[in-house]
Amino acid sequence: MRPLPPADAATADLDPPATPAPRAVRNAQEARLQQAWAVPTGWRYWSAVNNTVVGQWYVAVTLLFFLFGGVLALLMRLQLASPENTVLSADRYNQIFTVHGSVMMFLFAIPIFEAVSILFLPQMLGARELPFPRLSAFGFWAFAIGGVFLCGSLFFDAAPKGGWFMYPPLTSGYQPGVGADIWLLGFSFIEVAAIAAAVELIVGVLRSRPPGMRLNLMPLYAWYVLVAAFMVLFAFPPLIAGTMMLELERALGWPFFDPRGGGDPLLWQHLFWIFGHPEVYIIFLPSVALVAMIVPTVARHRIVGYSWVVLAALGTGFLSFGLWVHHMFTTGLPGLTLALFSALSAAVAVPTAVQFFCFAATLAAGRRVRWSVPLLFVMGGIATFVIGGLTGLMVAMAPFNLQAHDTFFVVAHLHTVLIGGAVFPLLAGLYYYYPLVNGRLLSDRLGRVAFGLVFTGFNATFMPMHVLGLLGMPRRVFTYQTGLGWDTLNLVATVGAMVLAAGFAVVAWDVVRPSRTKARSPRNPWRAGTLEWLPPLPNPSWGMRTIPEIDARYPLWDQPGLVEAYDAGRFFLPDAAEGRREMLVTSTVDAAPQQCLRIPGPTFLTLWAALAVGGMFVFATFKLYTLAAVSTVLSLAVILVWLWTGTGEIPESDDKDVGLGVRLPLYLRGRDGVGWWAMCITMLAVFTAFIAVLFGYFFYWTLDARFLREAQHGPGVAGPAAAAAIVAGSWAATVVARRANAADRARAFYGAMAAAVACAGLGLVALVRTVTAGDLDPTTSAYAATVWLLVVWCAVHVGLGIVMHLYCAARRWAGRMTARHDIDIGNVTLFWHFTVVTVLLAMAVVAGFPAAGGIG
Amino acid sequence: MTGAASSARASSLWRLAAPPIVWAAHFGACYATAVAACGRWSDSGHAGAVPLLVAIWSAVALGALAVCLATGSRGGAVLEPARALDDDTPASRAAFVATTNALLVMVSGLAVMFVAAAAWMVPQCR
Repeated sequence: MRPLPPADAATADLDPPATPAPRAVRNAQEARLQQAWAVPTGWRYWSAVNNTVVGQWYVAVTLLFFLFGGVLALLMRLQLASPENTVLSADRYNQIFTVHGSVMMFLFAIPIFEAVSILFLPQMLGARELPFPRLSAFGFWAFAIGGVFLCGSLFFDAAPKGGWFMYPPLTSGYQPGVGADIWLLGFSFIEVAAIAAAVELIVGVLRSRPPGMRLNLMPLYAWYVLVAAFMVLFAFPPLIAGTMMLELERALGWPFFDPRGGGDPLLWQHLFWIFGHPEVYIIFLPSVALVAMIVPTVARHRIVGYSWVVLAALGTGFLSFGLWVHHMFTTGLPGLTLALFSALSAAVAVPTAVQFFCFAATLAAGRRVRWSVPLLFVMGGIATFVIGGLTGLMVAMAPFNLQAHDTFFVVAHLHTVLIGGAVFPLLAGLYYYYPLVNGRLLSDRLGRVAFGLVFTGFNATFMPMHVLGLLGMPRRVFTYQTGLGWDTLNLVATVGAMVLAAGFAVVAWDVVRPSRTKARSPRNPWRAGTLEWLPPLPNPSWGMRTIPEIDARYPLWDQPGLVEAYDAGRFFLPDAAEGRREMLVTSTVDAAPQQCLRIPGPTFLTLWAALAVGGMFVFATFKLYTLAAVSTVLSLAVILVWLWTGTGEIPESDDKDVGLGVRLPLYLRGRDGVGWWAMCITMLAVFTAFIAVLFGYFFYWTLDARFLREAQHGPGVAGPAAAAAIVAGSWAATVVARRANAADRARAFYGAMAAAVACAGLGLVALVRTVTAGDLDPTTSAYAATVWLLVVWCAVHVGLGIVMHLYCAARRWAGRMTARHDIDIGNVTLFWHFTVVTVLLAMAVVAGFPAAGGIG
Repeated sequence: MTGAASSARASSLWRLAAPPIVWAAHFGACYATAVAACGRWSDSGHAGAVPLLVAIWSAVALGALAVCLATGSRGGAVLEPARALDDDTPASRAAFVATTNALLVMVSGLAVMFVAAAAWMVPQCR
């Protein structure tokens, strides 16, 4: 039996055996794999966690939301078809444009990338699954529940009506109903789902690749998804912080955005657009990723400029975080600030354009480009997006922006970018990848008809809107007077929208028509070179029959004999001897095998967890705080059961033979473990949200000299310093407990744990006392509200930390955590690293900053 | 896997992230300078110092990018022929990282200069 090969060598020398196993052996292997990876049937079907099933649910629900948002768009276009029309009232129109924008952004454009990735990414990486299938399922249920909650509000005349970016004071002081609360709390819930998916995808790309798939051999889709998922981690938290602050203002009167209390509505705009602009690229990049997979296939040529495309993905991802103020050019910001953001808004065009040149070069280099339906949508998308990009450069220029702001020009621009950059590539991806779903092909004829209708309808709808904007028609008006020169253009746009809708209807029919009317797909119908096309169609529920060893970027083109060796199960993990779901974990850079990871199977716990967490948000929306508190307790209970039964399992042996003579450990501790990565990535997102709240503190300080004068009523220095010291003591005791556990000194472990819990409890009290001891009323000023929020933030961390301490102690007591199997305490220690930094930073700002300014 | 080998491989990802992080730090410094000069201390007439400060931040950032370029190309020749980046070998992976690092240095440098130019051309707060 060979030991694990050295990482530098990776697996280049691990060729499959020359002779396959006998047919009877292979049949038995396949039967065991089938049993281990079987999708539950009957009502238990809904407990499935297979990526192939959850991914299909996710895509289907996302597309349903897309159709719902599309119907709302048609209603708006009907209303605007003629001047002074009365199809919709002003109030109903406000609700519809708000829900349309929100649905398209939060329930379609972002989740579709996560849905498609959950569905196809494992196969692109030659993996059986993503590392946390239950997390994917939880994310899906949270998304579905939150989406239905938001969309349903429209049918009860209770929908939000402040526009998809919900600017206060319109959404704070002037909209007393529950509509804005539904938006704020509903989307907070959905943002949890988005971050869950991002964690899953990052760990998936970095740790689930097949042996040999080094960084330079990763499919471009994986690069794009990696960048987009990291962007979710850093873009969503500022929005979460902002929605929390706006909801606190609405529910409890904390004046974060109310100038009467020293607040400022512009802070919302900052927090929203720090999320909102990267969001455009979070939508765009994964869609372009589909293009990057389709173009080499249809061109029969490797992508030209692989490194340049990776550059484009990374460069665009980073630069997109420096553009947010170009949505705020008309708010009276200093000319210097406008210039900085205007310049960067132009600079981002460089990496964005690079990838299109690479695609064009690949098509030019291709020997026989096949004008298939996917390529039609790809070319339509590129042409449309380039136009949107150019109008984007126009609105990036402050003088033009000042004229075009809040006109239909902006509406036309954003739809050109998003439909060109996301919807067209997604339709290309639908036609390209549909055979992977059920082994059938969509109709080439219907696809071409749909493309013609969609492309024509799109341009007929949105080109006139550019002109309408230049003629001065403002966005978000429910009607207009005749004689302004807008009538004909609006009518054309409405007719165009109907044509566009007809195109989508053709696509929808092509998808939902009975399977028997669709042609069976041969294996690898497009003759692609990447791994997702390796299995036969339709693919059994195990995902990959065996995990291949990869030597090339396009293995199906460049690795002779790969398909035969795969079919014969001659690579890694060809069997499920113990009847368990297993996958390979590999190293981040060179994809050297590191672990045989056992992953949990079907469960309803993910659904119960999503319902319980959803209850927190839904009941809070309607100010049913007792029920919300009950839901919070239930959430905690369900999640603890989930963790207790589904994670940190101690295997029956240390390692196992995974094939090709390689033995891998079944349990991986510390930084090599996927759980550590998930915790670290999650905490990065949480910490980013905390930084966003701190940003608010300094934002107020830069605006108004009165801000720090309020600190005279603040917590002073002694209280926060004491709280920070006590919490730091809890952190130190946690570190000691981890070491005591690793040394198998049980008494020291429990002693340190008890000290950690005691310190954390005292720290919690000390934290609360910092704001309750004096006369710091959070409803009186933005300063007080911000200090309260920072302290509550810290207190929630410490409270969760106590639960984690107790969990670890119970795990060890129950024999589920030992000296050598210490993932739980390792992850909890990591949580406490972030917690102590958060508390120290918060207390340093709360106490130290006013003191440094001579107050306190 | 040895600790050194693991560390060397982990640094590959940091090499790709480093140039854009330099840009982000530069942009953050320029934005903070603009906010301070035009916000908190706008009455003190500090706006005139903005171009000089931005020039300093830009020089520091470009220097840091030069360091990124120098350290990022270790272990792999920059801008190898495309096929040399396609192999399942550590050398090919290192060449890919070095090339992509160099490209990211270029784009980050371009973004730094765009921002610097903007601060020089529009230095006023109004």
